[in-house]
Amino acid sequence: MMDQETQIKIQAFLDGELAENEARKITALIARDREAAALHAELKNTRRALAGAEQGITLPESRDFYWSKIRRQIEQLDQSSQLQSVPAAPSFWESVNRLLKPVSALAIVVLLGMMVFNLTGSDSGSDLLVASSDMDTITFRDDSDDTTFVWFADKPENDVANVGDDTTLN
Amino acid sequence: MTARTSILKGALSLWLALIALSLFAGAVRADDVKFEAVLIWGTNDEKSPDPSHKPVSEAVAKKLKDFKWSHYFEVARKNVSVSKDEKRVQMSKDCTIVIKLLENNRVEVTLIGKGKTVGTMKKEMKKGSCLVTGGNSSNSTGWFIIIKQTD
Repeated sequence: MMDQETQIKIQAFLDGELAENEARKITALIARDREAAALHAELKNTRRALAGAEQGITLPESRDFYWSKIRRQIEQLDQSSQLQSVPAAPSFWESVNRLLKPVSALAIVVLLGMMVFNLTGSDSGSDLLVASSDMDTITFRDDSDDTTFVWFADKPENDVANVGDDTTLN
Repeated sequence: MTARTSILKGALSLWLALIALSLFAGAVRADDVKFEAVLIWGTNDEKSPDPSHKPVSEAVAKKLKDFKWSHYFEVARKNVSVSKDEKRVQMSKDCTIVIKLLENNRVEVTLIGKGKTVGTMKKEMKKGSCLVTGGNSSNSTGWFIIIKQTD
């Protein structure tokens, strides 16, 4: 098995980078060792294939002019991006519209809240009576003139009007 | 979005805001609410033994027409203005009512007889609303207190 250093030397030999003494040794190695010869042949074929695949790129203008053109394009892009980043001053109607959006959202929330509150309000709706414990009451309502009647029915005398007391009802 | 659409949306938003504000303002009761409290005696006698008692108005008589008495006399009438604090109104020597404003246009009326709470009533009221409370009295007579919101 060929070591890595020998493999590198074969590559260097193929590239013409070895000293004459080393090149002679590698030549001898390739001549006598089948594995070294096979590697040399493979590397040589690969190099040939890569050389054929490369395409030369030729610029239509000089190198300096080409790069200066790229620099100018980059500078133009920087300037335009800076212009775009500066916000334009909003018009009056845009300002009003921007202000009214949260106001309208708040109004909708308030409306919904009031509707819900009116529908489910704890004390809204029917009349409520809390009478004293020793008093029966009858409640009825006349919707025609929005009148609610509360009748205290238990006692014939309920301290609001008393027999023989001229200052009360009798 | 065109400028016209923006203006339209803005106007709609303003309209909604105004509606919300008006509803909110409607939920908050004005400072003073005025009531009229009338103490009435119901009897089948044509005349009251107290000459200061005068027959009730036709409107009041109509309101009480379903009760069993044929004659109703006005014993006392008080005009009351109630604001934040509850208002005590003495209708007779032993009869007092306490009127208190609650939230959502509700009114609490407490009836006190000889210093003792007879009952507490709560009612949603607006201008013209009435709360009529009453009970039996001696000699097959009856008493009533009509509380009407006048403003």
